[in-house]
Amino acid sequence: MADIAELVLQHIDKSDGIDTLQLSEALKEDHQKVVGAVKSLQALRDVINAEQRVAKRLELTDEGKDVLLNGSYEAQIFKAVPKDGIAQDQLMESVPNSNIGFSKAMQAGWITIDKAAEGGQRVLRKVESIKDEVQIILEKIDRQDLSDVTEAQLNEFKRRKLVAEVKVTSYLLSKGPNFTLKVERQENELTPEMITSGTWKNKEFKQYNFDAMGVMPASGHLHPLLKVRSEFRQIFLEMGFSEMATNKFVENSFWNFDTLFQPQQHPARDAHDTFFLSDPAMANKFPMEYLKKVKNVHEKGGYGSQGYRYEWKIEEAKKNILRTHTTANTARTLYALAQKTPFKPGKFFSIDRVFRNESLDATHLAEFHQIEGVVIDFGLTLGDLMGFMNEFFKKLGIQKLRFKPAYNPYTEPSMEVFSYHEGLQKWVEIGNSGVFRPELLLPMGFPEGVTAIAWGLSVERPTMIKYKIDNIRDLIGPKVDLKMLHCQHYARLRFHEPMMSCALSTIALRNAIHLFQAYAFLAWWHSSLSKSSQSFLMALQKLTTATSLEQQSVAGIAFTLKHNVYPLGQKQKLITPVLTAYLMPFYVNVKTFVYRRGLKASTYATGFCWERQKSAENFEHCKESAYVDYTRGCHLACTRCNVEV
Amino acid sequence: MPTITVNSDELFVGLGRSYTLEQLDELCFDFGLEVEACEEVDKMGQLVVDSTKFKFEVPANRYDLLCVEGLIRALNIFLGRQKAPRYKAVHPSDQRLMQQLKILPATQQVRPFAVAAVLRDITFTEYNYASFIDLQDKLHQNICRKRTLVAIGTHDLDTLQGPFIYDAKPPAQIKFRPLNQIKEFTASEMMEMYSLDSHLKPYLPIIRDKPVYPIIYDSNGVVLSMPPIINGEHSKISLQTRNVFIECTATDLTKAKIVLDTIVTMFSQYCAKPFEVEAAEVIQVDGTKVVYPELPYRKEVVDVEDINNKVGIRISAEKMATLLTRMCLESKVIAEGKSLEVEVPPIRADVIHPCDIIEDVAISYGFNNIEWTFPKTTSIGSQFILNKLTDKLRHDIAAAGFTEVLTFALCSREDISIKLRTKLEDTKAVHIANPKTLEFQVARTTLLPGLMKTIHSNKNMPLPLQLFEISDIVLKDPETDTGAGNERHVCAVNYNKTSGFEIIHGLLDRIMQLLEVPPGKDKGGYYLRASDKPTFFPGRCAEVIALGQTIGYMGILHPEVVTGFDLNLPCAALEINIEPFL
Repeated sequence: MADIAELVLQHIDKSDGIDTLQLSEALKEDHQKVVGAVKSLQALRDVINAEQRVAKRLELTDEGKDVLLNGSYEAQIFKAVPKDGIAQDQLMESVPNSNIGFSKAMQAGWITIDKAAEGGQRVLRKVESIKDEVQIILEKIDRQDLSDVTEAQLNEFKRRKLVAEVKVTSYLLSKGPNFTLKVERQENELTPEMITSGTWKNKEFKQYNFDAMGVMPASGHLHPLLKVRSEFRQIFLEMGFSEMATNKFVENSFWNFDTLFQPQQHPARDAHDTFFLSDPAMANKFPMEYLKKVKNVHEKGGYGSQGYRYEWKIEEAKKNILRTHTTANTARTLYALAQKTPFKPGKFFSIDRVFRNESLDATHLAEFHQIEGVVIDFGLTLGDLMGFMNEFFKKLGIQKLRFKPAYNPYTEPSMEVFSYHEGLQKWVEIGNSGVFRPELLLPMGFPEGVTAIAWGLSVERPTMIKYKIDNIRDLIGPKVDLKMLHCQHYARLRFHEPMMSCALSTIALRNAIHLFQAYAFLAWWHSSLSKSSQSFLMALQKLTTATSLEQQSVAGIAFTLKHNVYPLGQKQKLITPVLTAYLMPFYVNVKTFVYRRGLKASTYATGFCWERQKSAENFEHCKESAYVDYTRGCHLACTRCNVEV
Repeated sequence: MPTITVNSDELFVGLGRSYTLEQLDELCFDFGLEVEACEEVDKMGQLVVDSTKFKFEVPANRYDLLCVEGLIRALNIFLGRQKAPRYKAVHPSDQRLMQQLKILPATQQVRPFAVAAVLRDITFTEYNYASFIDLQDKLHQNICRKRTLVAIGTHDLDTLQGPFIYDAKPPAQIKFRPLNQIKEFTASEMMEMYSLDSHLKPYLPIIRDKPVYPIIYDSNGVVLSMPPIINGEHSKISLQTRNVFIECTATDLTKAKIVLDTIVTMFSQYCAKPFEVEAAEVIQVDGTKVVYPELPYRKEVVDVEDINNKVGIRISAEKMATLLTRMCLESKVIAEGKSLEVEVPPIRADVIHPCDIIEDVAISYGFNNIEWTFPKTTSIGSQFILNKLTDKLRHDIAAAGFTEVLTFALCSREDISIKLRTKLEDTKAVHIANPKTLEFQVARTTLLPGLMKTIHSNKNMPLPLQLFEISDIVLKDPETDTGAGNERHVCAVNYNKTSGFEIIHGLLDRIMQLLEVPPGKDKGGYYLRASDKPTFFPGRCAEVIALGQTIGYMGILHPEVVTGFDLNLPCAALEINIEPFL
């Protein structure tokens, strides 16, 4: 390469400006090689000036080259017709592309058909000799001599795909301020030999591109959801909570429902919602004295309660299930606590898997992780529960709370916890809480006056928001995207971004409104109201300001928008171009995001390249030639623009 | 949660003023309801807000809020615009005119309970008629548990002649003209016909296989209904109906009473004498007579200080009584202001304990007016020891270059048997009775299939793929109360062009090093012993023995296991139980 570079310098020295295409002919070197040499000279700072030029040129296509060599299809047909004619069937088989050639030859009046001939139609020559104009013109085009080629002819050839217009990128080269004829060979790296021999002192070293990305260290990675789980465990431990033993996926209905004062006809106990077991189908060991108390409180009440007044059946309680909530384990923990005298107050938490018999989709899984906290002591008040919620959510950076009355069979009062979402400008639900009913605590054997306050939320929703994952199956289960796992950050739940405040959900993901979708919908809605793409843009921008999010996040939202707006129908058409325009300036910031999301590599690379070229025209071209080289980490390349990072 | 849709005009007239969505939301939020604009997608696929309606989400135990009548009444009382009405069951002037429903013994094997009542001189309008039908539907869906527990029938009394009989007969002997049909069908024909009716289809299994079907008819043999499936056309109510006979048949008597009370308290509003319901007599199988509706008013005495303490407020007994009265719980101060006598009306069936009264004090006071305090409970935090060990190991295995995955605890039977060249009977697997898909037939007995499936979904990743998971598997265990228990396993795989036994072995050595278990065959150490577990390639499988017990297996997976998961490269795997190391 260095040799070519020196030759290039010599040519530049001799001329007032020379094009790389000319140069490649003069040097009898491939144009790409010459460009390569130019690039390396450019790296030497101001030695040469290189101005990019794009020229359009007509070139023969493969088909065109074939015609140039063998004559046009019609000429080939003509040649294949002997003086005394030929059977049409035979003719059609003897020449390639005979259909085109035949009709052209007929059009030109070179041949004729004798329909009455014996043994089928015969083709006869109509003229003695022909002049193959097509071949002649193609030959001119091949020489780039377009002087007497008409526009109509050119268009005709383009239509027949014999010639094509190609763009040729070349560089006009001239001397730079530091022009020199000699290329000092620059060293790439400092080597042990250089250090030992001291030769480094006299060497020139290539400049580093500090904008490039480093090589990621090889390492294993922890799963995002489990990182979030660790964060929550940490918060509980900081607040003095003890972790409950929840390593028990198989529960019986007694502990999962009955002890929690959930009546046996409650819809949650339906096969539609709960996984029942066929083997082992029934549990057999129960604390019988306690069981009698539970039966009694369901049937007749007691402890100040009216009870549910129905016939409680032990068969129903015996049924084994996969636990539908970790509250089953909480019941066991509390029962064990109640057996200890004197009563000792406590704070307990758990984070573990629970099961619901649901069909899988983007936001529902049959198993998910539930976070649960309980405080049990004499004289706890509803005000305590709210104050406690406030401190707990503060640890996640959530400040503004309010509480809504709700219904839950085993807590009374029950409250849904809402947090004000600055971005959406509305209150969003972030968890569920309540005071355990006396019908639950007293049969266990707790003394009168003991109160337990509890709350719950899911791990999945905050994780999906934190890691910007919009399909839960990308996160949990075998379909997890390992690429995504490899690019994860810490799960610090310092939800400074206001958007994180709606990251927490009720125990079930059932009602989860995915934040991105909410954003996207809002933006879409704004635009649909005024029916203009301009207002869509403004809505998005407004959201950016309102949420003080990084551009990356907004772009992420917009991305999701693009993916999620489909079901809403025709607006897609409006949004796509706007979105593309809107996203362009952010592409560089978006790159980690896109990479993580596993979007098509070309989308990412295109964005990158487009950023360099700043022209919509180039964008279209780069779309086909840009790619991400995954084998080298986050390396990007665009063959068209010769860009590589 | 159930939702009801309410016409905004009707709502505003009822509440005496108009509200914006925000104002209504503010009011309802404090009351425990969620209100939303009614959104619909029109023909063009555009989302349109129907401003003439609101949608309310009602707590699942507030049956009295399932219709617009109850909702407006409750909000008006909450706002202090109205006093709670007194609901009364009255006997007809002449005891002989009392409607009777006689339960015959045959019903006991299918749907044993029935209750009844009459709404006299009711005036239906287009609106309240629709609401009447809608309330029955809402009750059927919620407290009636899709008609399994209770089924409601309402009839035009003037078309019938009591006393009524509640009987059960073999399907072939039942024949009548069902609602909205032009001819008579036998019960069997109806079951056939309605199996194609999307509305009625879900209710058919409630009685389909019973030897007898419940049936109610009048003294002339006219069929009122075949609960819980369909009413008769003859006694169908209309806008012109003046007297309504209501029957509820049930498998749960408590719920039947609540349902009957709810309907009559809501709609007696439109009777000539509002909130008065005509009682009916139900003759039980044993001949005893019970009069319905019961409309019970129950008195609870609650301690003022106790309530103040539980909510975390300081208010006087008088103030508390006022707050409760706003929640339809009429309260009187007694015992010199120490206690309240609270009357729980029939519409508040959800109040079954003083704690429900406490909640109503809190709601009425305003959850968001309660001062936030911090519990004085002190405690020292602690980790569950198994989770503590798990968390430590996770970090170190990841530091050793393996990536953590999180897979499902449920899988197919095939995943843990055929695919691992193991017999299902040998797995001690827990089986699920009602899986919705084949993916959830059993709880996993090993973490390996989850990892293999993860590799399968990530075949295009650069090699080697080194994955691990630390999580619970489930095994049948007769020692536990449920007959099954979890076991915490760590499983790791190395998937590459070379077998990689030494890599997985190295990981085992590292784990043992972390756990302070030295290599060696004595009691406190760990070692490998050749094994012929069929999941692994012959001669390339070892049992891992530590602390004197087998804790798991490692080796190179059998090629049939690899191909069974649709993979094609050698895979070394390790799976051990970590519970012995606590």
